Amino acid sequence: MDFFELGNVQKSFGENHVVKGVSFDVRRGEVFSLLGPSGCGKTTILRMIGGFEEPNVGKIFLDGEEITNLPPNKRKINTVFQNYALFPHMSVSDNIAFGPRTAGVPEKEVQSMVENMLDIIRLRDLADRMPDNISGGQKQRIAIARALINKPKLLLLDEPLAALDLKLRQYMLLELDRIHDEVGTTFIYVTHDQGEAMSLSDRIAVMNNGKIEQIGTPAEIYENPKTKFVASFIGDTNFFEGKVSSCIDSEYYKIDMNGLGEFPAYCDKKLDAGAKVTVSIRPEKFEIFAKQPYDNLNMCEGEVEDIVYQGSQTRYWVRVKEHRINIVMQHNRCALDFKQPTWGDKVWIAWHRDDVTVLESNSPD
Amino acid sequence: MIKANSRFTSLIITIFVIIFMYLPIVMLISMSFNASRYGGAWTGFSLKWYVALFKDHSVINATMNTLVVALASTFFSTIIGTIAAWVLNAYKRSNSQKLHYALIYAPLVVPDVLMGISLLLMFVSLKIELGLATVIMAHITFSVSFVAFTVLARLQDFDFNLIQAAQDLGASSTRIFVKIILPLLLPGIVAGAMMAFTLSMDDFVVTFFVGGPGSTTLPVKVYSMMKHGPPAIINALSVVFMAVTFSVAIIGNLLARKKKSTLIIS
Amino acid sequence: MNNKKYSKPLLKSKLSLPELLLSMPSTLWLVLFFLIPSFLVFAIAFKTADPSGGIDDTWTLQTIKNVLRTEYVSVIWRTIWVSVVVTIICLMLSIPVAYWISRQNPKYRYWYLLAVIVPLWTNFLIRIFAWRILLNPEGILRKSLIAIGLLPDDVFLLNNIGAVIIVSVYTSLPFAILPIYAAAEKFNYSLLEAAQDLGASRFKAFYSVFIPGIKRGIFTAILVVLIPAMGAYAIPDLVGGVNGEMLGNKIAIRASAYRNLPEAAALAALLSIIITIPIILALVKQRGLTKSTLGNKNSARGVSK
Repeated sequence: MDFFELGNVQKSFGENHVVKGVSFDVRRGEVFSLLGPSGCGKTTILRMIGGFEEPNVGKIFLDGEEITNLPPNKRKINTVFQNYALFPHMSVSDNIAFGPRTAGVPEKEVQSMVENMLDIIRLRDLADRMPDNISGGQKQRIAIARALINKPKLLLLDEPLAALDLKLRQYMLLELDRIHDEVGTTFIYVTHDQGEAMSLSDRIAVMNNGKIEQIGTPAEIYENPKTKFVASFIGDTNFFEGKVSSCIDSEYYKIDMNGLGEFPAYCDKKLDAGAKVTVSIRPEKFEIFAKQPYDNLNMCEGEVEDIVYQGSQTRYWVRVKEHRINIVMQHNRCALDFKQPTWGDKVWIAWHRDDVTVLESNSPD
Repeated sequence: MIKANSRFTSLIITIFVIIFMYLPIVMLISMSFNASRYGGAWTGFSLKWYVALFKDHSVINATMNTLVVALASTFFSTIIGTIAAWVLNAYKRSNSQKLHYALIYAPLVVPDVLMGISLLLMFVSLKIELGLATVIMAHITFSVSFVAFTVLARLQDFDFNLIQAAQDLGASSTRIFVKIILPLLLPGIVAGAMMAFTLSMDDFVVTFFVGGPGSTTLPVKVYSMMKHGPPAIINALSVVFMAVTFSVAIIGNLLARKKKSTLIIS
Repeated sequence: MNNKKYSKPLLKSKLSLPELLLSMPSTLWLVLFFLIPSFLVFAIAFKTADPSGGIDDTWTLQTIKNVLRTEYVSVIWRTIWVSVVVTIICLMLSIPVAYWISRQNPKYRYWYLLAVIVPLWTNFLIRIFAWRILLNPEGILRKSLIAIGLLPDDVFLLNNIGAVIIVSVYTSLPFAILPIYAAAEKFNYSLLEAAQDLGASRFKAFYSVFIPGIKRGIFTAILVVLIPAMGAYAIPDLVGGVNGEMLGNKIAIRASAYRNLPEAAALAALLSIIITIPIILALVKQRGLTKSTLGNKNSARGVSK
């Protein structure tokens, strides 16, 4: 049995089925993210793990013990709340000391624990401040310290960076990573921001509509999305509807992509000839050529419709028959030194057959 | 489970409080239809106490007094209180307004008995005859603060950029006052006036101290009937009184809500 | 200390003419009808009564001596403990009610709150009168309590100190619920979850996080219940009986039935002094509160710089 396990958990509020049978497990020491749009049920799952809601169906195990119906104060789990929930009438150090004091730890020991936590979050000189006069990033770190001081087996983080601005968010991501490395506690991290999930997590569960769509490492989820939802929620992509024409060998199939033509594509699953499929190709997987390239690539001809220069890269929209294909070109060299395609140019676009992802045909939208 | 429990305890207490708040009123209303003269046991349905009530001239007199006092004190206290609120808000950084604020705040924390006895002592010292005039003066005194704070609350939400916007659009000061300030402050002023009216209608203690022979208001009448009169008539009187104040309060509430919604629309 | 430096340029010390004129009506009125009479009470306490029920021009200390007789000491003591008990009961009832209402769907909160306030629309005296009917010896309540054995049949519900407490709670309760509800509505309930998450029991979370979180509301509630209760006159007069008399009754009786105005003034002066104690405590506490928030703002500014 894994360190933490959620088994077929379901939760409804009245007629509203928020969580429709979710199972996953988390390994000791891992950062596990629940990623999905708002309303997908991820926060409800977190609240059930924390003990603030009870599942209608299903069981929750932590370290070999069932905790499904334990109240929050009886679980070795602590939460970092979305808006920090620091007690406004207590100083920073009293906030951090709340857990050990409640547990009846001797005051002397509490003091040294608090100091130790303040060192970990590097906010020693804020000990006597009140929560109302410290910044958002500081509050965030104090909320983390207040939870970690109880040495939880599991730390739950509910959109911990949502209230911070972009620069601070990037800094706090590094801080979170550092703190995780330092304490080694298992984290379950809830977010709607793919960037946060990607950069922090060992594994990600992508959720939609009360269900898990896919669980995997960040790279697996980006490069090999299982469903249309995952492909579109994580990063940009181009979708093409198509039909399997024939099997080339065990891993490659010829797929008729409506209007584009017939192209080979990689797929590790068994597909039947004639089956309808959706194909996803990420924008950066395309290349643009002024003339037809000689390489052994999949290619077709189109016309540049729109260009957006974004500094490190340029985004093109190329019209190929009824498709409008989104393509990103990285500028590894100075963009001014090369002749760039411009509006109305006829160009060739090409991609490698291994960069095509064939999605499950029955995936919900 | 956890939350359900604490909500359950507080729900039980809330239900208890609601019963506690309404039980006496329900009893009162039902007793006013009781045929028995001294209340207590139920001896049958009757409207005779209502009939007796409307034949009692002293009750009608007291009602007139109550209305005169309430209207007069509301009129004056609304004017004084509104001006006070305006100056408190307009000059809020001035030290003298801090004193002014304290002066307006103080009557709110003084019990009725103290206000009554101190006014009585002053009227007696100055040899002013007790009557409707002294009652009205006393009612203005305790109403001013309530009006001032009700209007002040409204003023604090008032967006003074609107005045600049109106000036920018070429409006004169009078036009600004009539078209911008008054309509936006009116709900606050009306609420303050309603408050003053209700307080005046409700007051017994202060009136008891500063009233004279000719100035018996309805609450004072109810008091003397409770002490000396036939109890059953008071039941009927109470119910009529209650019906009147309830309709005033409901109308006031509806007005306040309507004002809000028209404000949102415009 | 730092505040002083700031306050100078912010505050104008000179009165402008419009400010003076606009301040006139309320200031004059309240000085004349509130401030002077309040001090007059203390002066008249040292005057002699004239036989016709007025005030004589001679000065005396006798009235003050009379008022400090033992007869009044028990009344003073009763006034204080009854007011404190009423305040405590009001808090114990209004905190759960405010908590419950503030956790309801916002759509319905207004109506629940209205349900609690509506009895206030009934005239004050009529509310007291309603209790006289309810607690009547021949009334349903006493008879049914005796019938189910909760009440010995020689116990009366009316004309005792218990009735004074019940009715005072009844008339003050909405005034206690309103400020506490206002504070509870703004309370961040995720703090309760945070406390439980950190190992606190439900009860510990409630009193160590919720109660401090709504302390401003509780504070206002204490003031609006305690002070009127100390000055109560009509309630003890109408439901208290002989043993339920409070300071307010004594003042009223001296002022009306016995017509000894200096003695009434002396008692009123005493009552003023008693109620000043909680008011001063409140002012000190409030200053502490605003000072600490001011300090907070200053240091927050320091941080952002």
